[in-house]
Amino acid sequence: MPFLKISGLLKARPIAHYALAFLAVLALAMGLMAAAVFRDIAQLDEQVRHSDEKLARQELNEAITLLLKHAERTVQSLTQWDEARVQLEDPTYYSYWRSSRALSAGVLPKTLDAVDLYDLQGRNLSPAKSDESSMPPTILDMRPMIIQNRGHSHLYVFAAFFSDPKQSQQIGYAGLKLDLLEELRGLRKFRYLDLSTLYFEGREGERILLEDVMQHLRFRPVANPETRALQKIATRSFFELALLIAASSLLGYFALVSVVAKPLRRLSDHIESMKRGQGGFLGESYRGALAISELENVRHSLNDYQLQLDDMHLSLANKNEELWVLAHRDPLTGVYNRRAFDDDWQTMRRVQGTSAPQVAFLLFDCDHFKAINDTYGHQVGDRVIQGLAESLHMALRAGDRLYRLGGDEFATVLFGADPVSARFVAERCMEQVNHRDFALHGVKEPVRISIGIAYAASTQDDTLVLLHRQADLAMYHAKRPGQAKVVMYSSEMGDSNEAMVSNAEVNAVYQAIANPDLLEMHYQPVVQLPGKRLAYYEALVRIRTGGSLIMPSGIFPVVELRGLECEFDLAVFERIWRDMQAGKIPAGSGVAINVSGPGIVHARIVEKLLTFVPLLANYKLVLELTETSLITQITQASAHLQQLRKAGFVIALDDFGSGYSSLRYLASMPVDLVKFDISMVRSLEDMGRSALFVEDLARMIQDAGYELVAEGIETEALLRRVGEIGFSHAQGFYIGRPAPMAE
Amino acid sequence: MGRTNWQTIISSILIALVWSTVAQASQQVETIVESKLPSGKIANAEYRQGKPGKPAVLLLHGFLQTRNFSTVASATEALSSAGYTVLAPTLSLGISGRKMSLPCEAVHTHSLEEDVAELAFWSDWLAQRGHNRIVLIGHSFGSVQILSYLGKKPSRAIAKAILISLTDVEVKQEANARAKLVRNLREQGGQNKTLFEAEFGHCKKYVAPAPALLSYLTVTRSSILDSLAKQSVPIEVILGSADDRMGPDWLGKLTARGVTVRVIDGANHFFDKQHEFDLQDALLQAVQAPLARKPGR
Repeated sequence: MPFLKISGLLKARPIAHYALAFLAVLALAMGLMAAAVFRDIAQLDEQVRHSDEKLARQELNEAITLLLKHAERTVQSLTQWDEARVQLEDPTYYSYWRSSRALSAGVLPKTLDAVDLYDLQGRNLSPAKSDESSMPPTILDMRPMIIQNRGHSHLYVFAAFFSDPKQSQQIGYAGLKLDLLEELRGLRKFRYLDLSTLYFEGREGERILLEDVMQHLRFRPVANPETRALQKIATRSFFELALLIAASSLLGYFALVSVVAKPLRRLSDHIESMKRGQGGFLGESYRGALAISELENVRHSLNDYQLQLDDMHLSLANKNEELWVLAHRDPLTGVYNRRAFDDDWQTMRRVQGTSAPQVAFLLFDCDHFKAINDTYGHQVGDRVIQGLAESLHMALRAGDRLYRLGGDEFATVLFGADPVSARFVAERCMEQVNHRDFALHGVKEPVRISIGIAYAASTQDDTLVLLHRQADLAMYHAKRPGQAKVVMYSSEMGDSNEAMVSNAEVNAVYQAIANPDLLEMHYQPVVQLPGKRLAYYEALVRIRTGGSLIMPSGIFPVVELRGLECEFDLAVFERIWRDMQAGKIPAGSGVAINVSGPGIVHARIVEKLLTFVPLLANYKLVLELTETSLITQITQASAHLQQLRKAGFVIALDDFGSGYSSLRYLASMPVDLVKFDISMVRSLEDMGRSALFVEDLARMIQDAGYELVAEGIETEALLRRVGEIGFSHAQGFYIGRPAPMAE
Repeated sequence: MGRTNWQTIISSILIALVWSTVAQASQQVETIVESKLPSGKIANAEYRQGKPGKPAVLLLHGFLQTRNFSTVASATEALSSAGYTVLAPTLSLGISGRKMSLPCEAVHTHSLEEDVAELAFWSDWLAQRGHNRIVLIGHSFGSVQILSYLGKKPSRAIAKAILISLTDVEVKQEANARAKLVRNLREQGGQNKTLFEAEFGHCKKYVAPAPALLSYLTVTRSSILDSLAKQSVPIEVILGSADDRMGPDWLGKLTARGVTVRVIDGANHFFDKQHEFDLQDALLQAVQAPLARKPGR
């Protein structure tokens, strides 16, 4: 386990490093083993040496004993020698005998240094000499002794000389002198004793009895040939083994590097190349001299994988292309969509850089498309949209792109176009659309478009947003009765600073989405008629930033332009939830929550709203949706509303009459309350046709079972009026302005 | 019963063999006799008592040898086996109790006179033991010593002398050189103890004081032949035809002096190998021959 932990902590290393590490470990192990082996051999050698020393000492002891016996035999031979005996009887010719016969007659060993005869008083028969061949003038000791003289250690042996074999009559003494070490060396072969190291340690003239000679003899045992041979064999074998292992290891290392490591490295490099998308087919050149089947399998697998990868890339590329097309094309018309619009704008900004040229933004919108859709159905509506797209596309220049921004709204961006050219293109588009026969699709009414043009002499980061907003304003002007259908934006259409979505507002919206505490809900009371009893509050959102308050006119353009409807709704819901939790809303009352069109079809919005269900016990919760929000994805929106209504929410149709009103929507949608738009309610102040129309409409809707809410009540008279008509609720500055609730 | 009888028979035979051997041996008692010579030296001899009625034999070895020399030892054995009393001394040659042959290079203080005196001692020794017929047998220079003894005043018991390989002392020695040596030795004086080295006999290097050496140099071919002629004791010489120590005319000179010479073909100076038995036969024949003194004795 610790090994696994350690190995897990180690960085990946090339296989050659591991091989070298293995070699190092092997060398270390070999060294340790060598040390152990040589130590054991040394110990064995020591033991054997001690044993040999002991044997050598024993051997020497035996040799000395043998030497003594030999000396005694020699001296006996001397005493039995007739010629020697006669010298003791008549020493007349002793000198001759001693010098010419004693050592050369063949009776005594020639290795003797000297021999002498002594009379019965122990006196040497020959005159005193002091050379190598001389014996002591008198007998020193009958016991064999050694005397060191001039670097030689001499053994002296004396014996009584008898005249008869029965040794009944002693006639004198015989003495021998021999070189101790020479005699020992020539006496026998020594197996354990190294004769060349044998020496006698004694002082000049010192007399040492033979029985004590071992104390003075120094020697070394013969190097045991067996252990020496064993040492040599072990050493040689070890070095041969080490050499073999080293050679094998080196060979193995180079083979590993050549056959495994290099191909592995090449495979690894190839895999890296594949990661970078630069991989290709890996041929047999990656490997060394020998092919490793496992590596070949890897190579084949990599090549197969590369083939599959290539196929996949191709397929992905195709899919990407397809997806890109799907993501950037409007499925209905085939023109570019909103995503392509944003991407192209960013690409153009990147390409053009700071030297971006002038640009004109053309916004096309179909007049009364909702009515056409309502009247002829979605299929015809789609044909109309397709027709419009086709007509506009034909009218645009070759390099211009037509974008469908949503619904019946199209746009194009003319880079490098001046206002005149832009208007010219817009007029051509108008003409093309006007000339198209939409009756082929079953539309009896003429299909017309309004075009708003915005121009900018140079591009900035937020030019597109500004141009879009300006074109949008221009287009709205174009939709007004009596206005030209192609309108170029001018500053009179509104303060561009006000209309422009500022960076600060953008930031504030994003920050509020991230932190709902930045949202400030202002609650406007809605009273129930006729008693003007407070029914609920409509929650209206502002954003508090840097001491100022951003109103919905500054918030929602950002939200709509950035597609943040769902996120902003969630933030508002959270803010309202916190306000209700904080007790800001009086119990027993209620809150009307505005839900955006994109939001109501989103599951997260529903999920968030359902968290308010526990509050239904004490509050009335109204969900206000505009009729435009109900147009898109009507099925999904209807399903969610049914779900919320079933949970206890009251569904209100907001701004009724402000858009393309269709009672068909009202009848088919799960709506409980209908909030008449301000403009509709204001028209009741006049006594003209509009008032009658609104009054009748109100009664009709009321008769259909809906409750009505009148917005924009700013006078007592109007309040009374709406009450007379039958509105169940009223809201307006006269009743109460939107204001934050105190805690 | 049958088995027991066989065992008894075998045991009886063995006992008889042993007894006869012992009986035989009891008739050949060997004794080493040591005696102190008048010179004070101790002399020794091997004595084998033989059958009564037979002459005693005194066997003398050759120059510087001992009685254990093969020629003498085998003759001793043969004669003793034939029932003769044998006395085989080893001349002391100046060395008491000499047991080993004396090398040429040794100091030879002995003289011919001392040798002859010792020979006389042993002859007398035999006579004193009741042996009234003594045959002297000498080998090589022992024959010369016997002749010298016979020329002095031998024991009356000496009945015969058999001289084996009577050596021709001058052969292989140049006469002038021998004469010169004699002169030198004489010039040194008879009492001088200076040692001389000389070629003498079979010795290339014979070391002796002058008097001792001179005593041996008095023996010449002529003196031997003269001595042979003068002897009253019967003398028989046994020579080997292959003895290279004799001059080619030695046999002729001997026979010319009337010496009985028995030549054994093919034998050398030492009668070794198969000639050992020829010598033994010759000795037995010579010893068994009637012993008679020459007239005038």
